[in-house]
Amino acid sequence: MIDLIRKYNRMFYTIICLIIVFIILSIILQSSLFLFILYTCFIVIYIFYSYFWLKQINTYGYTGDWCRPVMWIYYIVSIAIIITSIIFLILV
Amino acid sequence: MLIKGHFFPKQENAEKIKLFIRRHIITYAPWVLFIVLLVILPWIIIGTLNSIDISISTLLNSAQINPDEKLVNQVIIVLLTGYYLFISAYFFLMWIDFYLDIIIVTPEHLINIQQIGLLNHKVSEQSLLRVQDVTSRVDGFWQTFFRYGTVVAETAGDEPNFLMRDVPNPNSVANIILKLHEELIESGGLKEELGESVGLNRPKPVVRKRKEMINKIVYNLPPNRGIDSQKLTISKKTNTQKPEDTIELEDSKVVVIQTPKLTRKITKDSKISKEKPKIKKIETSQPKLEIVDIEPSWISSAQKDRRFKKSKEIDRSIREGELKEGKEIRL
Repeated sequence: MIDLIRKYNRMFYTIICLIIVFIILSIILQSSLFLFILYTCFIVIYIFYSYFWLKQINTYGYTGDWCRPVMWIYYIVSIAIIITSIIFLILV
Repeated sequence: MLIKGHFFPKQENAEKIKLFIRRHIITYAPWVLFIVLLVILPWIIIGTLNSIDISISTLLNSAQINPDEKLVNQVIIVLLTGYYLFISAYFFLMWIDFYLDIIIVTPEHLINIQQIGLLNHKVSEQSLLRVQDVTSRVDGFWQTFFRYGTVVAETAGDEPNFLMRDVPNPNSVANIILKLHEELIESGGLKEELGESVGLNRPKPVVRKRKEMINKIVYNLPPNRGIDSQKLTISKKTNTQKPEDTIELEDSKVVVIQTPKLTRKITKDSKISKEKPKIKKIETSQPKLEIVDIEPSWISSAQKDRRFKKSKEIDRSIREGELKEGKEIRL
């Protein structure tokens, strides 16, 4: 984790700062709009990441190996996180 | 892009895979534990805050902000969603790094496939012929306990060594690579390639040929190596191996002087006048001459010096007319 942060430190800190700014804005302005933008950003970035992740697996993955089960785990985990968050957002 | 049925980009159709190695699964375990810790961390924090009767709303109220509870919950959910998506991405990034880091050993090649991050994919290929030595290393408690370690294939020349980290059963892997290397060298079709690539057998043919040629000349001389030789067998430079190429010089007297660098032109019909048996008087009747370069490359510098002095002495003797028929010359 520390290596990752060190490697992408500028980008990492920028994202953290943007998240904090959005949250503060939403709290100060008593508006969910900024939260909605933030949430959408998370989902979009994650979809981009998923696209490249799956592309790498499809390009360099080896058939007959255990990449297919992991891909299914990936789908399930990703969808579970997103659906759960949406449900909670609706409930509150 | 991989072709279907191929495991690495430059794989030839007939090239079978002998070893397909990933890092030991135990090296992925610390990442899994770390991810599990990250997953439960927010709940630990929330649980701790609840146990001491502090809620997020209280914290925010203390900061002179008065948001309603709904917004605070939304903030928490959005943050948690981002956090878990990040953890998920990180976990699968680590997995892809583990899964796509592969070492493939074929009877002819070593292939190291490295996945660096999400988007960088590096494939390095090395011919087994260039491998000089293979070392396996098991360091420390965990490597000994789980039987994994490092294998280093040292390569010839300036090319970087082939480093394979966290390989299961490193000793077996090293043995297999060495065995394949030896098999490849022993296989006939690749001997020439090895010679050319490593530069082992380039100078050999020339040296051998020259040695054979000189030996033939020297050993076919009569024991006294004298100028009274009535018969001398001299092989042609081009075909030193074949006996039919030897030439017999009948009724001629030839002096063969072995000096550090001496070139004589001798043909089948070369004759030396009986009246004047000097080397300078070698008569040749054919325009195309066979050049016999008598320069033993294996003699020591002291021997060379001695022979050079001797040759000078002989030259002087010839000049002054001291060298006459019947005189024995010892080199």
